[in-house]
Amino acid sequence: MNSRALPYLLSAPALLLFVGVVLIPIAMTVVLSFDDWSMTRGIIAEFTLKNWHEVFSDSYFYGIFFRTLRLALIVTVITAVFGAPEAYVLNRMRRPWKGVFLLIVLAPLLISVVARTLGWALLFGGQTGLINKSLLALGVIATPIPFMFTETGVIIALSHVLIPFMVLAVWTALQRLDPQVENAARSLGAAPAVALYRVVLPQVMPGVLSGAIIVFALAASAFATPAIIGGRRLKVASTLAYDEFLNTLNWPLGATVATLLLIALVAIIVGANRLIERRYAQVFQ
Amino acid sequence: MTRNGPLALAYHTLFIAFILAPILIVCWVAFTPLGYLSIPIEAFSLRWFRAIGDYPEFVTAFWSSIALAALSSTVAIGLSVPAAFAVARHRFPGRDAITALSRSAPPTLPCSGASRCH
Repeated sequence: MNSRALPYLLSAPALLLFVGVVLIPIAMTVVLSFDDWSMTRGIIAEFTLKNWHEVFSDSYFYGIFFRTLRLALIVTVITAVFGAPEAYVLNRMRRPWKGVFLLIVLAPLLISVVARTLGWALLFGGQTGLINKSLLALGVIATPIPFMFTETGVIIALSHVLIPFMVLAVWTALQRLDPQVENAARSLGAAPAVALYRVVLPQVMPGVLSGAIIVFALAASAFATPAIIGGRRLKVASTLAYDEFLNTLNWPLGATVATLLLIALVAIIVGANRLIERRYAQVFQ
Repeated sequence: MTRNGPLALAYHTLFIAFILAPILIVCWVAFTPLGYLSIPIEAFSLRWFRAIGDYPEFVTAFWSSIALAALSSTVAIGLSVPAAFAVARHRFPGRDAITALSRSAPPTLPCSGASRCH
């Protein structure tokens, strides 16, 4: 066989699938966002900027996009602040604990979103939630912490499912780190906290940032968790697009929202990537 | 030096509790004898486990899930292993595009059926 053609033949099936189930649907969504729509006639295949004008001129849409990005940012910060130390602790564990706890940390990814969210609802939901009940009984809080249909609920549940990505990213960075560097800092007189902050942290920062990009992208485009916990009352961009498609049946408007979310995410992620690669150029070489 | 101190282990315990709490509570509640959700559960019962057998829709759905998982992972492996082999063993024009696509596309895309959903 021609050795030039071989790599193309090997990658062709995967590429064809990618084109068929990812690129073509996205292209169709973009095209759909320029179609017209009316209550009586449905989708009208005429080029119009109506949907884009509607999304950009209505503060309702601004609010939802702003909420989506704000929630994603908060979730990203939470996973970085809590996930990075856990990765450090995990990395210092010995066998077999390291493997056992790594698997436990990955547990949220292995479990259906419905079961996970039901669990959070049982812990926090209304008066009867376990955590609310105990806190009320202990007198820590006077009224139950609202969870269902609130941003707090969406943030907790999203952080829970996305934190494994952060732990994995930081853990990968820690594995490339020579443990003797930290010992050297200690032997030169640095207190443990100083060695951690000034020697370990700067070296794992690229791991934290690449984890942050993954978590941000997944949080901003998350659908199931905000749909179940946020419900109709607390919409984010992906649940808004879903509602336009399946409830209002205004497919062109839903397509516009989806396209805009995609453009915003790609812009943010490419921009963040550029910044990180420039800032940490020496680490990537 | 490489051992975790008590503070680190305390943090680790809280972290693991956070990860497992919503999962364990669902398992716990599955043993309730009642017809509605109430926590803490007063008595243990296998009532709902027995009920699975009398609920043909659930059994069918369970096997559909297993079949889908087996089929989709087989297709994914069958398609991606040759591509990974091509990328790892060959240098060819377009190689970077393939690696970039496979790494960045799934998390970047909004949940429109093409990517995994959380």
